[in-house]
Amino acid sequence: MVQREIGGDFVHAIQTMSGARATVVRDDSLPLAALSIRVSAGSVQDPPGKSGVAHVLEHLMFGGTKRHARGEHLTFVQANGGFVNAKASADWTKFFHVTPPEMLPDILRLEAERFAETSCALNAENLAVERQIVLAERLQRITNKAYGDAYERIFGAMFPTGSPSRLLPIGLAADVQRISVDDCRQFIAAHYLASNVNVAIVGAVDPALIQRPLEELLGSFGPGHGPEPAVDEATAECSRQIVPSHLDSKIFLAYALPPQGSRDYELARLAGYLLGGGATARLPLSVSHGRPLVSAAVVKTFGRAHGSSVGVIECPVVAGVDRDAVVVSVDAATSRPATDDELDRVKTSYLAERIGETDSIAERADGISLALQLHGSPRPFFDHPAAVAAVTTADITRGLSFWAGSSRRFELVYLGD
Amino acid sequence: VISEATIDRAIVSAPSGAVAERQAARFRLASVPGANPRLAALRLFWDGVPELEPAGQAGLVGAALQSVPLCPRHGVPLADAVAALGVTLTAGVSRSSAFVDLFGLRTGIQEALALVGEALRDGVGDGAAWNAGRAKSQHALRQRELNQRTRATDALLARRAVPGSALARPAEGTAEDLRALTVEQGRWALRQLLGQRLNVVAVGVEPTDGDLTDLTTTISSGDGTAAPTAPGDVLTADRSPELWLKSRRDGEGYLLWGTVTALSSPAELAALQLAARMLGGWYGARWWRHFRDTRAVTYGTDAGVETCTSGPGLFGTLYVGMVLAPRDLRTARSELLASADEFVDEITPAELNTAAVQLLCQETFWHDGVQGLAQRTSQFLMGGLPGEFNRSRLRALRTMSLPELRTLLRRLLGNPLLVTIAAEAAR
Repeated sequence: MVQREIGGDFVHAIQTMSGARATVVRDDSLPLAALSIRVSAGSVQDPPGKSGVAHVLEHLMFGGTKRHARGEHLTFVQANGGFVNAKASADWTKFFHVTPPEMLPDILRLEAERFAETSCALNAENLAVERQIVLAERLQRITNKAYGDAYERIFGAMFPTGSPSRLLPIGLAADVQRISVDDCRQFIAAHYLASNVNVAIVGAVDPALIQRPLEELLGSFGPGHGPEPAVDEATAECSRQIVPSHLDSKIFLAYALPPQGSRDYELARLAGYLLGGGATARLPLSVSHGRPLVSAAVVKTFGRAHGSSVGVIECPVVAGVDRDAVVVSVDAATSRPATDDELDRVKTSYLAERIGETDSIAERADGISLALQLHGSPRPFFDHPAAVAAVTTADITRGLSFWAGSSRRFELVYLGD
Repeated sequence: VISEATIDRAIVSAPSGAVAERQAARFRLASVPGANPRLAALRLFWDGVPELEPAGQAGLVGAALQSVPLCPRHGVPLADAVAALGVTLTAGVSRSSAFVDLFGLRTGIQEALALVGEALRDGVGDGAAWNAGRAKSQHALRQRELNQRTRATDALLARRAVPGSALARPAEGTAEDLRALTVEQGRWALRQLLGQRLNVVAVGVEPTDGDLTDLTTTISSGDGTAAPTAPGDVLTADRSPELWLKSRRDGEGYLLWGTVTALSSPAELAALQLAARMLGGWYGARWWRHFRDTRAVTYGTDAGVETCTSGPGLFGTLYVGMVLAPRDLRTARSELLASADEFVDEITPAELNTAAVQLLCQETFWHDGVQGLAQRTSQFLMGGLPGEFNRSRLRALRTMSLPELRTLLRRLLGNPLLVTIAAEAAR
């Protein structure tokens, strides 16, 4: 394990011959350890007509091994006071734990075992149950939730026909029903490879004591390079969709942003913060103060490493307000260049919030594994505050340009009764 | 299948928060060490919010407090002036208290507190700040109504609590009342709030550090306390077993089983939390395993205990909720009610130990982040709870016997309510 100092933290790093990467940051302030395993394999690699494979597989990774029954990984960790979960996104699938540090070597061995064996342990019975659970998850996140289908509509409209980015990681219900054990095995063989594995550990751990189980984990993935996902550019083929709703009117304005990992994406994200970060951001001051047009203005960014990321402004419309007036106000707010005062506000507020986000070891492990995936190094995670501090007014005006105008924008309107 | 703790709850160490207190007539200042020496968090809170609001003005205090970050201070909104110090500012209300949170660099936290103190004394600012504060409350209230769990929990409390009490309505107030509130009423409400006894939780900053005690003294201008309220004045005698709420959309289905009860000791709160954990609070919980892993009809159960005070009384609301397809509601309802009937008698020693180990270990998780720790600590100080309340709760988690737990739960879970959200009432 190689030790380096980055920004005052002692960072220990391993990279195997086959390309798997791990970073360990020792922090003895609490008796806790956080582990984030991020595999560069997500829904953009789902086979055509089988959306949801990456996500179903994330569920099946808890389906057991030769030594452990279905669900035992979860119950073992949680019964003994740890936290464990997993998530599939467009570009990655991550598995994360926060536990008492003495559990970490056992957890690393459990992880090594399941990544080495899951392909063999997959069976139709487990798949049938997990498919039903995923459909129940769809029910909870989309069907049964207010405006729950908004993001399915947005991504569906933003990306061209045939693009895997049109679909959310959870997949379409009909596709999920068709997923087979072989689909999952093929996905593992193609993408759960050492070169796609990025591991971060932060907490009260002695790097020397976990080196062996960590190497076992990194060694549990097969060698080779998976196929690179196709570059998916948003085109916003459709400019507006109006959906009648029994709920209050709500407008979603979606914009194509640069790929995650690029400097332009970071500028666009910072511009998103200028627009919607905090009560004194530009959009709240423009559209929800004084005589409010909307009851809130929420800005979100969805980073995607291959092709277009997506930025969304959510505006719940105040009763009696004309929706066009809202869109005109938002356009006016997004098209102005940034001022020096705004830049100062963004920097101070953003950095104050960033301090909070990275206060927890779980968040730090998550941020480091993402930096490993995007940049092959943990350094951008540690350097991020300095990079933000160096941003100029011209830079952030460039970031704003990705949110301005309606040419590549998609407008989704839920029209209330 | 390993689904039980392999360690004994009696030996699990858990930080109790180690609250050092300083009490004065007008304030109570509690401090907790933080894990990160660079960071600090302060939570200022005032109890008895619903009692301060005149009839027809529910949500007044929350709206007034939400406007404070937008009040001008040195030529910029207060939130921006505070952010320039490396500190974030938020304000809001819970069911029984109002709060202001400051979090960020330790070096800026006291100067930020001084700015907040000035702004609080100056009132709700101009009409624009007031409108924005009120709009924030309206938005938060709308979000509560759209969220099935909070909608069902609010309905449970509205059914079981006396109208007008802290439990009977959402923290944000009511839509009708919020709409009619004026900036003058907001100014009056802030003055009333500052007349209440101030509670401050400080994480990562000692009361003796710099001016913290002096600043607290300056902000706390009153010694008012909420009027004493007996549990009988808060909870009704209602014993209806079920409640149906019409869904807002086709295809929507939700079940929530819960209860609200007065809590007279830390052991009772521990018992209620153990029950929530065992029923639906983790991957090995009874209803999680049955409804997700075995029947695969839900993505998972959502379980917990929310606490609230009314005067000196502490109340706990236990809930276990799950999203279901409408076609599964009837069967799930029957299975859930049957399981709930048998639950207390069926608890095993291993199940108790496992739930207690998880709750004890979670205490360390709360210390991973100074802001969360400040919020967590305030839960055990609200309503004038004694500083050792959480220590006693942790002791109960380590030592409560199964017969003791059963005795407590028979009383605490004696009046449950099943809330169904569906297009049609269950038959």
